[in-house]
Amino acid sequence: MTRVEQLVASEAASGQSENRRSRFRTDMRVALGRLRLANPVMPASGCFGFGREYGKLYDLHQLGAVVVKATTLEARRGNRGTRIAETRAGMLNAIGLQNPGVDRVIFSELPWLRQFRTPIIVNVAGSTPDEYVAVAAQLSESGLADALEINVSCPNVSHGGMAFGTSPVELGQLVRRVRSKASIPIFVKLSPNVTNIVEIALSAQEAGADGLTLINTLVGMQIDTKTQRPVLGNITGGLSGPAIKPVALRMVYEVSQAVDIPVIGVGGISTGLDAAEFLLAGASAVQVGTANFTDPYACPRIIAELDQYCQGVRVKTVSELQGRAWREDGWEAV
Amino acid sequence: MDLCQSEKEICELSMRVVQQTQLTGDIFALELEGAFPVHGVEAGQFVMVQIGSGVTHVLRRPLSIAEVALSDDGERGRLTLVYRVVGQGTDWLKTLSRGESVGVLGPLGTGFPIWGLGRGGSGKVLIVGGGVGTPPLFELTKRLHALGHGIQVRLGFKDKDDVFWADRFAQFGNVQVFTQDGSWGQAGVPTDGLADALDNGWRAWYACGPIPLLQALAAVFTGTSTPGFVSLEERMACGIGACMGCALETDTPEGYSRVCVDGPVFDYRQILWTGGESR
Repeated sequence: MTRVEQLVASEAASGQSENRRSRFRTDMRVALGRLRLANPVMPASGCFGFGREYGKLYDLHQLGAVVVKATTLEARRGNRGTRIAETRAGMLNAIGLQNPGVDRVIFSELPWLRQFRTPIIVNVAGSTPDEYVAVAAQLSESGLADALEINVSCPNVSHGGMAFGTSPVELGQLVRRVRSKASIPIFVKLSPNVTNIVEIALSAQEAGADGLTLINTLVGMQIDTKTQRPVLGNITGGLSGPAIKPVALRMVYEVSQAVDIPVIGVGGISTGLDAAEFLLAGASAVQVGTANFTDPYACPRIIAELDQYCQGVRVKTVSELQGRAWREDGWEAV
Repeated sequence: MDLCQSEKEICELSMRVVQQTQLTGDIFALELEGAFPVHGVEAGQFVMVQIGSGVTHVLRRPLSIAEVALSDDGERGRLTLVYRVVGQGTDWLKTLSRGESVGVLGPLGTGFPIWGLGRGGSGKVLIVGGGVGTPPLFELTKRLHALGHGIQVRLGFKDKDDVFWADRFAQFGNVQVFTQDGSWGQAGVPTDGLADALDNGWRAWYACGPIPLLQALAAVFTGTSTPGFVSLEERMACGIGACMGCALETDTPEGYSRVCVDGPVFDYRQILWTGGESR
């Protein structure tokens, strides 16, 4: 059987959606503060559009949550020139936050996604603090988003983006303002392009963040040796994929020990074992980005592989894995 | 038959290499067989091909479908993909030999619209290809021929060592080959003399190749009522419309189009032909 046929067969075998959870031997449920997920795996923002395309390939009910593309106040056309470059065990992107703007996201994208019970997390970006606040308020009031992910870490725009995520003071002010206008949980997606990630994380927590997502992409570039010019139209781009996994894992390990709010781990996850590593490092959930491009069925596959890993190490509840790499009682539990 | 029976339009499957043929110094034809859904594939659509295990090379490569048919025994789908070796990914593809397997996602994208032409009738259809851009035009030419259309094919290459498939196109239409140095066919490019041949009454034109060639064609036909369609190439990550990696500005209500789902084939009037490139 091809992988598609296997998935179709396994879906048919699982019967109606009520039985869906029973496909797994492990209790895959996790909590991110107030937000309850059926499992800890969700696609990362920017790699999954607004869900429609992957929704043609598999049932989005299978996902722990869906994190949609960064949404700004006005529509954005993104960067000119080449936006994608493959690197060894990774890729660079310089899309530039292309999106249809918050009005259209609320009017035509989120209502479609709402047909699934899967929680919707909307990634919010802007050029100014006012823009972040306006977008967050609109999304919160729309009732169509279950949580927001504040993107203070996009490396591909000239204004805003990463600038907010590299200064603890500015980040704290921004998060405080968004916090006061949004009634739904807010996660802050941090940039790895900083000297001290723990300092930034603590600042976000103090300002009222309900959780943290880390990491966004690392700033990098590629040069075409034939034209002797940078490959990307934006010159630099964000590095993602398996190449950045050790960096992401280290940051999750450090930050999750320092904060009291849940951490969503992201960076180079392409297998269930990768996901398990992030949970062991202290993440409560994980996001899958670049792996969706290599294997469009990466998210459901990783969920199934994570279930198998848990069975293999005799863990009945996936959340038991969280932080075992550093918890003092972690060793005897296995 | 054991074709991909997924209700979803797009299949992700493993296909077996039937044959790998070197067509020129750096252009190869890869023939694959497997449960690929042959029926319903449009000429001009493409597939995303996985490179190795997908760990070193995380991105699949978009390759246009040069030919699609049932296998000899009628049990499987057969795809022919033609590609130029341009980097490490295609360098790996080149090493695949008969019996090995490769991951394929497809069929993807919007192909060449041909049904509006009706069946047969007077006037010819013009097909213009340049270099490694010619393969998707082969399946198109085959289908237009089957529908009874008269076809004029103009193919451009750098020199005689770069020419491939001119004989295959000749099975289905009248072929003119152009090389820049005149070492095969006529010296020049496929647009040479076209402006003077506009009163030929072309029913439609279809093209794939380097941007300057497509832009020159667009310039020839702008202002005429002849429908024209170009197939564009762009770097892609997802191949299904989610990542915006291949988006380019177009003359459409949205202001941009995704080459992977809105294209790769576009009405030439939607493309912003400025500064010698498409964006």
